[in-house]
Amino acid sequence: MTRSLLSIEDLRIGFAGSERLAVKGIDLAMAPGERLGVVGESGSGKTLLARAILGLLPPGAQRRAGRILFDGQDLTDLSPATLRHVRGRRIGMVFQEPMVSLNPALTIGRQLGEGLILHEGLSAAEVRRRSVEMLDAFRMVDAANCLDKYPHEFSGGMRQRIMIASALLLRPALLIADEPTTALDVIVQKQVLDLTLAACRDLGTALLLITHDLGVVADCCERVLVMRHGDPVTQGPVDPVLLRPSDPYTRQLLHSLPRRQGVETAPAAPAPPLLSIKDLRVAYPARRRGLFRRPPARPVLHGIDLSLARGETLALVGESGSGKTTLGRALLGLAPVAGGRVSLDGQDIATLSAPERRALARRVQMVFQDPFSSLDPRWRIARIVGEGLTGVTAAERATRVAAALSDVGLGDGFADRFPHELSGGQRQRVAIARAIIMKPDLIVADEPVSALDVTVQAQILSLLKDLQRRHGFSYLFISHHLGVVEQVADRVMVLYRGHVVEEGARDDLFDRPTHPYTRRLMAAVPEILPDGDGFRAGHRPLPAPVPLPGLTPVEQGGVLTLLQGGHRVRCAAP
Amino acid sequence: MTRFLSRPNAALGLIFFSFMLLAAAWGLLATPYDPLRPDVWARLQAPSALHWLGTDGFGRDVFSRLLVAAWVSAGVSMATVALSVTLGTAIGAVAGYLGGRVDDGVTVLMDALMSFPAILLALGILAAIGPSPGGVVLALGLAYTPSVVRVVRGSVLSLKEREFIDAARVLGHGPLRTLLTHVIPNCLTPLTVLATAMFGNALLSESALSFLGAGVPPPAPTWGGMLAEGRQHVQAAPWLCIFPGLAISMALLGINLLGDALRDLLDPRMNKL
Amino acid sequence: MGAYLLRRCLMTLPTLLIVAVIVFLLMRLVPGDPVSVMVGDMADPATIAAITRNLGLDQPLPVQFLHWLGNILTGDFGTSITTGEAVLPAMLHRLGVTAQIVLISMTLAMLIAVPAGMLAAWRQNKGTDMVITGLLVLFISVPSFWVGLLLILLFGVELGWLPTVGYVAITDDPLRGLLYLILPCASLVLVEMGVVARMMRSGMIDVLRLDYITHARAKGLAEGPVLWRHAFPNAFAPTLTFIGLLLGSLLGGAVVIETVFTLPGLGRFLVDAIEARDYPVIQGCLLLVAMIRILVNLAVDLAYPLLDPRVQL
Repeated sequence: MTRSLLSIEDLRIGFAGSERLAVKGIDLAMAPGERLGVVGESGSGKTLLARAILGLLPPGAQRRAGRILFDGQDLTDLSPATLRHVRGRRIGMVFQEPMVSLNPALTIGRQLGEGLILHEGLSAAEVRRRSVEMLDAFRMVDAANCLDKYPHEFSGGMRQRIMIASALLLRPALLIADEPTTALDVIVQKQVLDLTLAACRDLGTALLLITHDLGVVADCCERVLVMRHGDPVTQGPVDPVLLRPSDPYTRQLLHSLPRRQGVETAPAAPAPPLLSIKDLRVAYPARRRGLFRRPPARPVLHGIDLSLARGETLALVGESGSGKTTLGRALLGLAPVAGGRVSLDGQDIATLSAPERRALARRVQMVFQDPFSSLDPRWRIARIVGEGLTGVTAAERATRVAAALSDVGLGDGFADRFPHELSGGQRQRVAIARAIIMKPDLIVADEPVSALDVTVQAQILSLLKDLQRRHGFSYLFISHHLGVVEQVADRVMVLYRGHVVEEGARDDLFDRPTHPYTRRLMAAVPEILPDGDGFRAGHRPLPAPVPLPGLTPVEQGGVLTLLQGGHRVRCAAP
Repeated sequence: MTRFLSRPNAALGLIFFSFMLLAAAWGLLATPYDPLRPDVWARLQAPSALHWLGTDGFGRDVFSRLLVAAWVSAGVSMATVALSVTLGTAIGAVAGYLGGRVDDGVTVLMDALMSFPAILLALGILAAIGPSPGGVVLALGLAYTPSVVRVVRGSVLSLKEREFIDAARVLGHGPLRTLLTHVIPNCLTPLTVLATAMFGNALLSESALSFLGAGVPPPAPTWGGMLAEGRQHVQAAPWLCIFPGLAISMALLGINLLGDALRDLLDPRMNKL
Repeated sequence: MGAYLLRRCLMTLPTLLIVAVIVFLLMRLVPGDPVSVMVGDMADPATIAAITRNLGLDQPLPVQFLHWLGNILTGDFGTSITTGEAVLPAMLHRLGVTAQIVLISMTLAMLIAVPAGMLAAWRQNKGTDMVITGLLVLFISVPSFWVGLLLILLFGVELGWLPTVGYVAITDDPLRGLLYLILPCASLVLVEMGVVARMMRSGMIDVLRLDYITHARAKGLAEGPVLWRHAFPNAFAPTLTFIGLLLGSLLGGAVVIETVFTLPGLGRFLVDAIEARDYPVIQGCLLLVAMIRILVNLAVDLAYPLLDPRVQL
């Protein structure tokens, strides 16, 4: 290896008042221009490692030992004033949340120019020229105008582009990016990553990328460091360290990645569907402004048709703003329905009396996305799980709660605990127990695994599948994650801005994506797929596009047109 | 609890606050002298072994009066907090949970009440119903209700976004049950912090009202009333101005320190109102 | 923008109306016949009946309210029962004294408290912070009227440096007028400063935790610019909305302080009126103070977008 740009030796980080270390002796070296990925699940210490380099550890965290050599200088030895010359000018840094990493009170131009004025002492005109140039490189439309705007006027993806542009503006030798695209939708993520890699290559900037996403690392980086509980697990070139892993933890990580398993289940029998939705429309009433006028309601779903058979899993997939969550909530009466018909077991819900509707509604249960917010922090687990049971004796309640808990793999010991004593995966199991104790026919699972680490995610997905096999309920499975959907779904619907753009059986849809939006979505995901003994990284190969008339990227208008075997795609009306 | 008391401000606060409780208990049980009986031969005496903190313009023992006043102030403040917390929680929870027109109406009404400085509103109410301990409780209780409504309504609104409230609805529970079992118990943390702060405010306002002669009427001893009297004799008997004020300040310091410690413990991120 | 301004201004109307209803009803709560309370029990029934008719008190309550509201809207707040002067000019005259005290105290409190709060937040949990927060909790725990009495005792009685009671208008004699204001303002500043500084500290701590602050540091900015350029505008915005509340507590505090120092302000006017059961004055003072609060809150809301561009005009 040539002269190293950054070399970290035996870095140890702990928290005040505790002997335990959160980072337990990390060594790493980066050459100029190199791209190194640091991956790990939550609690692995990867973020602390990134922040320690510039001496920006959060309050309470302390470096206990180790040297951080940058360009031959030990950063831990520098005075605050000297360290400030390195910060920004030689090492740039980007954070995860684009919504909070730009100062809401200052214009973009001021925040971009700040570093240039400080470190290079440029004139106002020169600062402006350099800022516009960099925003142009990040494909910001009308860059000159952007400078006078405030952060809240931009979308998340644009803010992250601005953030990275501002970090690269000073042409640093190293860019540290901490989960820079985790909060973004997959298509935007690809765009941001591509632009960042290109800019780093142009400027010769080395990239230290911190992420939990193995696909992103395999796609972007040359070398990788895997961390777990503060320990370095393995380190080296992406191939073979990540793609032909030899150590058990990395192998477990890779095998936990969600992917298609088994063969497609038989197409649904012609029996009457359990759930049928016709032309469902949802519109959120706008916030009233003042006392006088109420602006028109904001439509979120524009006429959705859907049917779901007993025991089937239908996945709704789409980006944020697609209306997939709203659809699930509307079924449960948690979103304002503006029109359409929902029938369960052939009964139109709208025609029922209120008590009948409530009884019917109990047959539809929900598992929420965030296991930290879906359990009342003041209730014990047993009470949470048994909350929906009415008209049963105390003894029966206890038996059923215990049965539900053991169904989801939680022993008796959990019944008396509080939610905060449980891990994320355990909490999600409690939420599942709360749903299945009602003996539902249908469970709406809204992003049930997206808040979980990949190994826990794999356990919960197989639990869900297992429970379905035993109890025979149907799932309406909502997710933005194509891999997860591919693993669990029998059928898939792709939503885009409140419209269904394509639907079909899982294999049909994933093997022959037809609508341009579906194809774009699939092409954007960096994936790691099994390949012989090891793995192969890259983007999913797409079949040649089907020359279908009226298949435009415009989602407005059009009707769902049948291709074959239940595979429909939205085209312009004939 | 041990962890709580190991904080320096909690321990210090508890010490100061227990002075007040101790004084109140003492005042309730027995005092060295009758706090109400004038003694013309012992007017305006400086602190001595006989009268530890001296005597006032009527020759009454200041120390005895301080003890009884502690009891009066603690009782009035506690009743005030109880009244406004009960009233405010009920109004705030219902308004926040139901939303819509009920909420709009409550918000406008509370905005209107809050545009009066609390002590002026209390003065106004007392002017109408006349000074009495019960009047002070009613007046201050009403004046503080809007801030309880605001805190409870805010917590309810943010709780409504939490998914366990949705989960309760999915399980088929009605709004009243959800409100009582999920929403209100989860408001207890901010309410505890608020109630502590309000106890201090109530104590301060009660003293101010009595100082102005609109609170608990004489001859019942109150710290504020004793200060008002001390003001008449500021040249001749400065101790009359010092000890009641010291008593108020020590009680308030204790409550404020306890409140801060409680806030740090229960919710490190919650803002001071 | 114009539409927003108009809408925000119109939104204060229901609040003002309810304030008026509250003030009106408050004086109708008086147990017994208000007229006999005013003129005393000695007056003969015929006089009472005449006054009752004169004041319109024999009409139904809503009619009385509309009549009263109409008078208020034309600037007629009635006449004082004790002195016979018109209430509105009397109040405005005394408001001048109160306004001086309140404005001086508020400015001083802000000037000291904002930097102190920021400093404490910046050095959170370190020695400096401990000292500042310790002092602040002490400040908010002493009642302003007791501080006033102690100041009188120290500077007036013991040292004899400053006048303790009374008032000289600044317009009459600027130097002596100022001397009379020093002690009242000092008593108020001490307490209010504690409240503002604690508020500023907690707002600042919340802001300093955010990513954009770490990002500003990662750019190599020194702590000065990080605090003043990046943290201050965001931390000060919530404190600004607090000014309305602060003004309220200062007006409340002024009532007590004016009594301590016998200043001829609005608060003293109100307290005297309460003692004399001078209902038109009590109503007028409450209404005036509430109106001032509502207008200040309106001004703060309209100024808010200057600090936080996310709030659209």
